[in-house]
Amino acid sequence: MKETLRLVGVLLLFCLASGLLLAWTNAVTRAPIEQALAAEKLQGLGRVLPRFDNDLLADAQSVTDGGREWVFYVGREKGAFIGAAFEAEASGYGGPIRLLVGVLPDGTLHAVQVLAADKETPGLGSKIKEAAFLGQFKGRSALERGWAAVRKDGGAIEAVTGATISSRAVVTAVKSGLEVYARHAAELRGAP
Amino acid sequence: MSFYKQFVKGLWEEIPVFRVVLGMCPTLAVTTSVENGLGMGIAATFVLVCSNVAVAALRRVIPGKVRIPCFIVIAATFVTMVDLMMNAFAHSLHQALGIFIPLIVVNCIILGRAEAFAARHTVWLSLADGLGMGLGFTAALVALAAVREVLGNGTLTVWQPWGWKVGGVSPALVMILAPGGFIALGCILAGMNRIQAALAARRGRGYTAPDFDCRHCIICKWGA
Repeated sequence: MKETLRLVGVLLLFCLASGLLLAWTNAVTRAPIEQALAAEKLQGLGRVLPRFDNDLLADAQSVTDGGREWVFYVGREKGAFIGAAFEAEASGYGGPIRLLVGVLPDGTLHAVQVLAADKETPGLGSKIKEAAFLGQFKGRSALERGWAAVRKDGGAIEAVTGATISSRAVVTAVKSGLEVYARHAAELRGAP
Repeated sequence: MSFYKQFVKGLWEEIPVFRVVLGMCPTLAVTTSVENGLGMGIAATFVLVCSNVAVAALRRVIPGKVRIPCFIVIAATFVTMVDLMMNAFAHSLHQALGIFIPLIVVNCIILGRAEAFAARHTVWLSLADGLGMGLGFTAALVALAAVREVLGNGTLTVWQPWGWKVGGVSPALVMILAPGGFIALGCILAGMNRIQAALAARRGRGYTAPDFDCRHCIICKWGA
Protein backbone atom coordinates (compact mmCIF):
# COMPACT_ATOMS: atom_id res chain seq x y z
CA MET A 1 0.00 0.00 0.00
CA LYS A 2 2.78 2.33 1.01
CA GLU A 3 4.63 1.56 -2.17
CA THR A 4 1.57 2.18 -4.32
CA LEU A 5 1.11 5.55 -2.65
CA ARG A 6 4.72 6.40 -3.33
CA LEU A 7 4.40 5.46 -6.99
CA VAL A 8 1.20 7.47 -7.34
CA GLY A 9 2.82 10.41 -5.59
CA VAL A 10 5.85 10.45 -7.89
CA LEU A 11 3.70 10.22 -11.01
CA LEU A 12 1.47 13.00 -9.70
CA LEU A 13 4.46 15.26 -9.16
CA PHE A 14 5.76 14.55 -12.64
CA CYS A 15 2.43 15.36 -14.21
CA LEU A 16 2.09 18.55 -12.17
CA ALA A 17 5.52 19.74 -13.23
CA SER A 18 4.75 18.88 -16.83
CA GLY A 19 1.43 20.72 -16.66
CA LEU A 20 3.06 23.87 -15.30
CA LEU A 21 5.77 23.82 -17.94
CA LEU A 22 3.22 23.41 -20.73
CA ALA A 23 0.94 26.11 -19.34
CA TRP A 24 3.86 28.50 -19.38
CA THR A 25 4.82 27.53 -22.96
CA ASN A 26 1.22 27.96 -24.07
CA ALA A 27 1.02 31.43 -22.55
CA VAL A 28 4.24 32.47 -24.24
CA THR A 29 3.27 31.13 -27.68
CA ARG A 30 -0.44 31.90 -27.89
CA ALA A 31 -0.07 35.40 -29.37
CA PRO A 32 2.71 34.53 -31.86
CA ILE A 33 0.68 31.55 -33.09
CA GLU A 34 -2.40 33.68 -33.70
CA GLN A 35 -0.23 36.21 -35.49
CA ALA A 36 1.38 33.54 -37.64
CA LEU A 37 -2.02 32.12 -38.63
CA ALA A 38 -3.39 35.55 -39.47
CA ALA A 39 -0.27 36.38 -41.50
CA GLU A 40 -0.61 33.11 -43.38
CA LYS A 41 -4.24 33.86 -44.17
CA LEU A 42 -3.45 37.39 -45.31
CA GLN A 43 -0.67 36.11 -47.54
CA GLY A 44 -3.08 33.70 -49.20
CA LEU A 45 -5.68 36.42 -49.65
CA GLY A 46 -3.06 38.73 -51.12
CA ARG A 47 -2.49 36.18 -53.87
CA VAL A 48 -6.12 36.12 -55.01
CA LEU A 49 -7.00 39.80 -54.75
CA PRO A 50 -5.59 42.91 -56.40
CA ARG A 51 -3.97 45.51 -54.19
CA PHE A 52 -5.97 46.53 -51.13
CA ASP A 53 -5.33 48.75 -48.15
CA ASN A 54 -7.99 47.77 -45.64
CA ASP A 55 -7.78 45.25 -42.83
CA LEU A 56 -9.15 42.23 -44.68
CA LEU A 57 -9.58 40.08 -41.62
CA ALA A 58 -11.44 42.76 -39.67
CA ASP A 59 -13.66 43.59 -42.67
CA ALA A 60 -14.64 39.98 -43.25
CA GLN A 61 -18.35 39.36 -43.58
CA SER A 62 -20.24 36.20 -42.83
CA VAL A 63 -23.11 35.08 -45.00
CA THR A 64 -25.27 32.05 -44.32
CA ASP A 65 -26.32 30.35 -47.51
CA GLY A 66 -27.63 26.84 -48.03
CA GLY A 67 -26.98 25.83 -44.45
CA ARG A 68 -23.31 26.75 -44.57
CA GLU A 69 -21.56 29.85 -43.35
CA TRP A 70 -19.47 31.59 -45.99
CA VAL A 71 -16.86 34.14 -45.04
CA PHE A 72 -16.20 36.86 -47.61
CA TYR A 73 -13.10 39.03 -47.35
CA VAL A 74 -13.99 42.38 -48.89
CA GLY A 75 -11.01 44.25 -50.27
CA ARG A 76 -10.94 48.01 -50.62
CA GLU A 77 -8.42 50.49 -51.81
CA LYS A 78 -8.98 54.05 -50.60
CA GLY A 79 -12.52 53.06 -49.73
CA ALA A 80 -13.40 51.73 -53.18
CA PHE A 81 -14.40 48.09 -53.53
CA ILE A 82 -11.65 46.24 -55.42
CA GLY A 83 -12.73 42.65 -54.97
CA ALA A 84 -13.85 39.93 -52.62
CA ALA A 85 -12.30 36.61 -51.70
CA PHE A 86 -13.82 33.55 -50.16
CA GLU A 87 -12.91 30.02 -49.18
CA ALA A 88 -14.57 27.15 -51.02
CA GLU A 89 -14.41 23.46 -50.37
CA ALA A 90 -15.19 20.25 -52.24
CA SER A 91 -14.45 16.54 -51.96
CA GLY A 92 -11.53 15.55 -54.09
CA TYR A 93 -10.09 12.17 -54.89
CA GLY A 94 -8.62 11.38 -51.49
CA GLY A 95 -10.10 13.99 -49.23
CA PRO A 96 -11.35 17.57 -48.97
CA ILE A 97 -9.84 20.27 -51.16
CA ARG A 98 -9.89 23.84 -49.87
CA LEU A 99 -9.55 26.82 -52.17
CA LEU A 100 -9.32 30.58 -52.02
CA VAL A 101 -11.18 32.40 -54.78
CA GLY A 102 -10.87 36.08 -55.64
CA VAL A 103 -13.58 37.94 -57.57
CA LEU A 104 -13.26 41.43 -59.09
CA PRO A 105 -15.86 44.24 -59.00
CA ASP A 106 -16.73 43.66 -62.65
CA GLY A 107 -17.85 40.14 -61.83
CA THR A 108 -14.85 38.28 -63.24
CA LEU A 109 -12.56 35.87 -61.43
CA HIS A 110 -9.20 37.25 -60.48
CA ALA A 111 -7.48 34.14 -59.18
CA VAL A 112 -7.97 30.74 -57.62
CA GLN A 113 -5.50 29.33 -55.10
CA VAL A 114 -5.43 25.87 -53.56
CA LEU A 115 -5.13 26.10 -49.77
CA ALA A 116 -5.09 22.42 -48.97
CA ALA A 117 -5.22 19.32 -51.14
CA ASP A 118 -2.94 16.97 -49.25
CA LYS A 119 -4.84 13.81 -50.01
CA GLU A 120 -4.65 14.11 -53.78
CA THR A 121 -2.24 11.81 -55.60
CA PRO A 122 1.23 13.33 -55.79
CA GLY A 123 2.22 14.00 -59.38
CA LEU A 124 -1.32 13.63 -60.69
CA GLY A 125 -4.09 15.16 -58.57
CA SER A 126 -1.55 17.46 -56.94
CA LYS A 127 -1.15 19.19 -60.32
CA ILE A 128 -4.37 21.06 -59.62
CA LYS A 129 -2.19 23.39 -57.54
CA GLU A 130 -0.21 24.45 -60.59
CA ALA A 131 -0.68 27.66 -62.54
CA ALA A 132 -1.27 25.72 -65.75
CA PHE A 133 -4.57 24.47 -64.36
CA LEU A 134 -5.62 27.31 -62.06
CA GLY A 135 -4.78 29.97 -64.64
CA GLN A 136 -7.79 28.84 -66.66
CA PHE A 137 -10.12 30.43 -64.13
CA LYS A 138 -8.76 33.94 -64.49
CA GLY A 139 -11.10 36.29 -66.29
CA ARG A 140 -14.08 33.93 -66.26
CA SER A 141 -17.45 35.35 -65.44
CA ALA A 142 -18.72 34.97 -61.91
CA LEU A 143 -22.25 35.78 -62.99
CA GLU A 144 -22.58 33.55 -66.08
CA ARG A 145 -21.35 30.14 -64.99
CA GLY A 146 -21.93 28.01 -68.07
CA TRP A 147 -18.18 27.57 -68.41
CA ALA A 148 -17.90 26.12 -64.90
CA ALA A 149 -17.39 22.42 -65.65
CA VAL A 150 -14.60 20.25 -67.02
CA ARG A 151 -14.58 19.68 -70.78
CA LYS A 152 -15.88 16.13 -70.27
CA ASP A 153 -18.97 17.57 -68.59
CA GLY A 154 -19.55 20.16 -71.28
CA GLY A 155 -17.70 23.02 -69.68
CA ALA A 156 -14.69 25.06 -70.70
CA ILE A 157 -12.14 23.99 -68.11
CA GLU A 158 -9.46 21.56 -69.26
CA ALA A 159 -8.97 18.98 -66.50
CA VAL A 160 -5.52 17.77 -65.45
CA THR A 161 -4.71 14.63 -67.45
CA GLY A 162 -5.31 11.58 -65.30
CA ALA A 163 -6.85 13.65 -62.50
CA THR A 164 -10.42 14.26 -63.59
CA ILE A 165 -11.88 13.81 -60.11
CA SER A 166 -9.52 16.30 -58.50
CA SER A 167 -10.11 18.79 -61.34
CA ARG A 168 -13.87 18.37 -61.09
CA ALA A 169 -13.72 19.02 -57.35
CA VAL A 170 -11.94 22.32 -57.89
CA VAL A 171 -14.46 23.42 -60.52
CA THR A 172 -17.39 22.37 -58.31
CA ALA A 173 -16.00 24.29 -55.37
CA VAL A 174 -15.41 27.43 -57.43
CA LYS A 175 -18.87 27.20 -59.00
CA SER A 176 -20.71 26.80 -55.70
CA GLY A 177 -18.78 29.67 -54.19
CA LEU A 178 -19.55 31.92 -57.14
CA GLU A 179 -23.23 31.08 -56.88
CA VAL A 180 -23.27 32.27 -53.29
CA TYR A 181 -21.28 35.37 -54.22
CA ALA A 182 -23.69 36.23 -57.03
CA ARG A 183 -26.62 36.04 -54.62
CA HIS A 184 -25.01 38.33 -52.06
CA ALA A 185 -22.80 40.55 -54.21
CA ALA A 186 -24.85 43.70 -53.62
CA GLU A 187 -24.76 43.53 -49.84
CA LEU A 188 -21.05 42.66 -49.84
CA ARG A 189 -20.01 45.60 -51.98
CA GLY A 190 -22.18 48.07 -50.14
CA ALA A 191 -21.10 47.33 -46.60
CA PRO A 192 -18.59 49.73 -45.05
CA MET B 1 33.63 6.53 -21.34
CA SER B 2 34.37 10.12 -22.25
CA PHE B 3 31.97 12.76 -23.49
CA TYR B 4 33.62 12.79 -26.87
CA LYS B 5 33.56 9.01 -27.34
CA GLN B 6 29.90 8.84 -26.39
CA PHE B 7 29.04 11.73 -28.70
CA VAL B 8 30.85 10.28 -31.71
CA LYS B 9 29.14 6.89 -31.31
CA GLY B 10 25.82 8.36 -32.39
CA LEU B 11 27.36 9.79 -35.54
CA TRP B 12 28.56 6.57 -37.13
CA GLU B 13 28.88 3.36 -35.15
CA GLU B 14 25.43 3.61 -33.60
CA ILE B 15 23.80 6.07 -35.99
CA PRO B 16 20.01 5.98 -35.74
CA VAL B 17 18.14 4.80 -38.83
CA PHE B 18 21.14 3.17 -40.46
CA ARG B 19 22.81 1.14 -37.69
CA VAL B 20 20.50 1.45 -34.68
CA VAL B 21 17.34 0.84 -36.66
CA LEU B 22 15.02 3.11 -34.70
CA GLY B 23 12.81 6.01 -35.72
CA MET B 24 12.00 4.57 -39.13
CA CYS B 25 8.41 5.82 -39.48
CA PRO B 26 9.10 9.54 -39.44
CA THR B 27 12.25 8.91 -41.48
CA LEU B 28 10.44 7.48 -44.46
CA ALA B 29 7.61 9.98 -44.30
CA VAL B 30 9.58 13.15 -43.80
CA THR B 31 12.55 12.65 -46.13
CA THR B 32 10.76 13.92 -49.23
CA SER B 33 12.83 17.07 -49.10
CA VAL B 34 16.09 18.01 -47.38
CA GLU B 35 14.41 20.96 -45.69
CA ASN B 36 11.83 18.75 -44.03
CA GLY B 37 14.44 16.18 -43.02
CA LEU B 38 16.63 18.89 -41.52
CA GLY B 39 13.73 20.47 -39.64
CA MET B 40 12.56 17.16 -38.27
CA GLY B 41 16.09 16.18 -37.27
CA ILE B 42 16.68 19.41 -35.39
CA ALA B 43 13.34 19.17 -33.58
CA ALA B 44 13.98 15.53 -32.64
CA THR B 45 17.54 16.38 -31.49
CA PHE B 46 16.23 19.11 -29.22
CA VAL B 47 13.69 16.74 -27.67
CA LEU B 48 16.24 13.92 -27.37
CA VAL B 49 18.80 16.11 -25.61
CA CYS B 50 16.26 17.61 -23.20
CA SER B 51 14.69 14.23 -22.51
CA ASN B 52 18.05 12.51 -21.93
CA VAL B 53 19.23 15.24 -19.57
CA ALA B 54 15.95 15.26 -17.64
CA VAL B 55 15.85 11.47 -17.30
CA ALA B 56 19.49 11.32 -16.23
CA ALA B 57 18.97 14.10 -13.70
CA LEU B 58 15.93 12.36 -12.23
CA ARG B 59 17.18 8.79 -12.55
CA ARG B 60 17.49 8.24 -8.79
CA VAL B 61 14.03 9.65 -8.19
CA ILE B 62 12.08 7.69 -10.79
CA PRO B 63 10.85 4.41 -9.32
CA GLY B 64 11.68 1.43 -11.49
CA LYS B 65 8.11 0.18 -11.68
CA VAL B 66 6.72 3.36 -13.25
CA ARG B 67 9.76 4.41 -15.21
CA ILE B 68 8.17 4.04 -18.66
CA PRO B 69 5.19 6.35 -17.85
CA CYS B 70 7.63 8.86 -16.40
CA PHE B 71 9.86 8.75 -19.50
CA ILE B 72 6.79 9.23 -21.67
CA VAL B 73 5.53 12.20 -19.65
CA ILE B 74 8.97 13.80 -19.91
CA ALA B 75 9.26 13.17 -23.66
CA ALA B 76 5.68 14.29 -24.34
CA THR B 77 6.19 17.53 -22.41
CA PHE B 78 9.25 18.48 -24.44
CA VAL B 79 7.60 17.48 -27.70
CA THR B 80 4.56 19.63 -26.94
CA MET B 81 6.86 22.54 -26.13
CA VAL B 82 8.66 22.06 -29.47
CA ASP B 83 5.32 21.83 -31.28
CA LEU B 84 4.01 25.07 -29.78
CA MET B 85 7.31 26.89 -30.28
CA MET B 86 7.55 25.83 -33.91
CA ASN B 87 3.95 26.84 -34.57
CA ALA B 88 4.71 30.26 -33.14
CA PHE B 89 8.21 30.95 -34.46
CA ALA B 90 8.78 28.64 -37.47
CA HIS B 91 5.25 28.46 -38.83
CA SER B 92 5.90 27.31 -42.39
CA LEU B 93 8.17 24.50 -41.23
CA HIS B 94 5.50 23.52 -38.72
CA GLN B 95 2.94 23.29 -41.54
CA ALA B 96 5.35 21.24 -43.66
CA LEU B 97 6.13 18.70 -40.92
CA GLY B 98 2.50 18.55 -39.83
CA ILE B 99 1.59 15.54 -37.77
CA PHE B 100 5.16 14.30 -37.53
CA ILE B 101 6.11 16.78 -34.83
CA PRO B 102 3.75 15.35 -32.19
CA LEU B 103 4.79 11.90 -33.39
CA ILE B 104 8.33 12.55 -32.14
CA VAL B 105 7.02 11.29 -28.79
CA VAL B 106 6.69 7.76 -30.12
CA ASN B 107 9.93 7.99 -32.04
CA CYS B 108 11.71 4.98 -30.60
CA ILE B 109 15.00 6.83 -30.39
CA ILE B 110 13.69 9.05 -27.58
CA LEU B 111 12.27 6.28 -25.43
CA GLY B 112 15.03 3.87 -26.41
CA ARG B 113 17.87 6.14 -25.32
CA ALA B 114 16.03 7.15 -22.14
CA GLU B 115 15.63 3.52 -21.13
CA ALA B 116 18.90 2.14 -22.48
CA PHE B 117 21.24 4.95 -21.54
CA ALA B 118 19.98 8.03 -19.72
CA ALA B 119 18.43 6.03 -16.90
CA ARG B 120 21.82 4.51 -16.06
CA HIS B 121 24.37 7.21 -16.74
CA THR B 122 25.27 10.69 -15.64
CA VAL B 123 23.74 13.86 -16.99
CA TRP B 124 26.96 14.78 -18.76
CA LEU B 125 27.26 11.48 -20.64
CA SER B 126 23.54 11.45 -21.39
CA LEU B 127 23.90 14.91 -22.91
CA ALA B 128 26.69 13.57 -25.14
CA ASP B 129 24.56 10.60 -26.10
CA GLY B 130 21.54 12.76 -26.89
CA LEU B 131 23.58 15.20 -28.97
CA GLY B 132 25.39 12.46 -30.87
CA MET B 133 22.30 10.39 -31.59
CA GLY B 134 20.28 13.48 -32.47
CA LEU B 135 22.85 14.84 -34.87
CA GLY B 136 23.36 11.37 -36.31
CA PHE B 137 19.61 11.11 -36.86
CA THR B 138 19.63 14.52 -38.53
CA ALA B 139 22.53 13.52 -40.77
CA ALA B 140 20.77 10.28 -41.70
CA LEU B 141 17.57 12.14 -42.54
CA VAL B 142 19.42 14.72 -44.64
CA ALA B 143 21.37 12.04 -46.53
CA LEU B 144 18.26 10.03 -47.32
CA ALA B 145 16.26 13.15 -48.16
CA ALA B 146 18.95 14.45 -50.51
CA VAL B 147 18.85 11.24 -52.53
CA ARG B 148 15.07 11.13 -52.63
CA GLU B 149 14.56 14.77 -53.41
CA VAL B 150 17.15 15.03 -56.18
CA LEU B 151 16.03 11.83 -57.88
CA GLY B 152 12.32 12.23 -57.21
CA ASN B 153 11.75 15.95 -57.64
CA GLY B 154 14.79 17.29 -59.42
CA THR B 155 15.38 19.87 -56.70
CA LEU B 156 17.44 20.31 -53.55
CA THR B 157 15.95 22.61 -50.91
CA VAL B 158 18.24 22.97 -47.92
CA TRP B 159 16.27 25.71 -46.13
CA GLN B 160 13.96 28.30 -47.60
CA PRO B 161 15.09 30.14 -49.64
CA TRP B 162 18.25 28.13 -50.31
CA GLY B 163 16.97 25.69 -52.88
CA TRP B 164 18.26 24.68 -56.27
CA LYS B 165 16.90 22.93 -59.28
CA VAL B 166 19.18 20.10 -60.28
CA GLY B 167 19.67 20.17 -64.02
CA GLY B 168 19.85 17.11 -66.20
CA VAL B 169 17.76 14.94 -63.90
CA SER B 170 14.40 13.74 -65.11
CA PRO B 171 12.54 13.19 -61.82
CA ALA B 172 11.28 9.71 -61.01
CA LEU B 173 8.13 10.22 -58.97
CA VAL B 174 8.53 6.84 -57.26
CA MET B 175 11.44 8.20 -55.22
CA ILE B 176 9.14 10.64 -53.42
CA LEU B 177 6.65 7.90 -52.63
CA ALA B 178 7.03 5.02 -50.17
CA PRO B 179 8.70 2.47 -52.47
CA GLY B 180 11.43 4.94 -53.38
CA GLY B 181 12.03 5.59 -49.70
CA PHE B 182 12.60 1.93 -48.99
CA ILE B 183 14.80 1.47 -52.05
CA ALA B 184 16.99 4.44 -51.17
CA LEU B 185 17.21 3.30 -47.54
CA GLY B 186 18.21 -0.21 -48.59
CA CYS B 187 20.91 1.08 -50.90
CA ILE B 188 22.37 3.32 -48.20
CA LEU B 189 22.33 0.45 -45.66
CA ALA B 190 24.11 -1.80 -48.14
CA GLY B 191 26.62 0.95 -48.83
CA MET B 192 27.35 1.39 -45.13
CA ASN B 193 27.85 -2.35 -44.70
CA ARG B 194 30.36 -2.26 -47.56
CA ILE B 195 32.26 0.68 -46.09
CA GLN B 196 32.41 -0.85 -42.62
CA ALA B 197 33.54 -4.22 -43.99
CA ALA B 198 36.32 -2.51 -45.97
CA LEU B 199 37.40 -0.49 -42.91
CA ALA B 200 37.41 -3.63 -40.74
CA ALA B 201 39.44 -5.55 -43.34
CA ARG B 202 42.01 -2.75 -43.42
CA ARG B 203 42.38 -3.11 -39.66
CA GLY B 204 42.72 -6.86 -40.03
CA ARG B 205 39.44 -7.56 -38.28
CA GLY B 206 36.43 -9.47 -39.48
CA TYR B 207 33.07 -7.74 -39.91
CA THR B 208 29.56 -9.08 -39.72
CA ALA B 209 26.73 -6.86 -40.84
CA PRO B 210 24.33 -6.07 -37.97
CA ASP B 211 21.25 -8.20 -37.71
CA PHE B 212 18.20 -6.02 -37.99
CA ASP B 213 15.76 -8.34 -36.33
CA CYS B 214 13.93 -7.65 -33.10
CA ARG B 215 16.22 -9.71 -30.85
CA HIS B 216 19.17 -7.42 -31.39
CA CYS B 217 17.31 -4.18 -30.91
CA ILE B 218 19.29 -1.93 -28.66
CA ILE B 219 16.34 -1.45 -26.29
CA CYS B 220 16.01 -5.11 -25.32
CA LYS B 221 19.78 -5.56 -25.11
CA TRP B 222 19.84 -3.21 -22.14
CA GLY B 223 16.31 -3.16 -20.74
CA ALA B 224 14.60 -5.60 -18.49
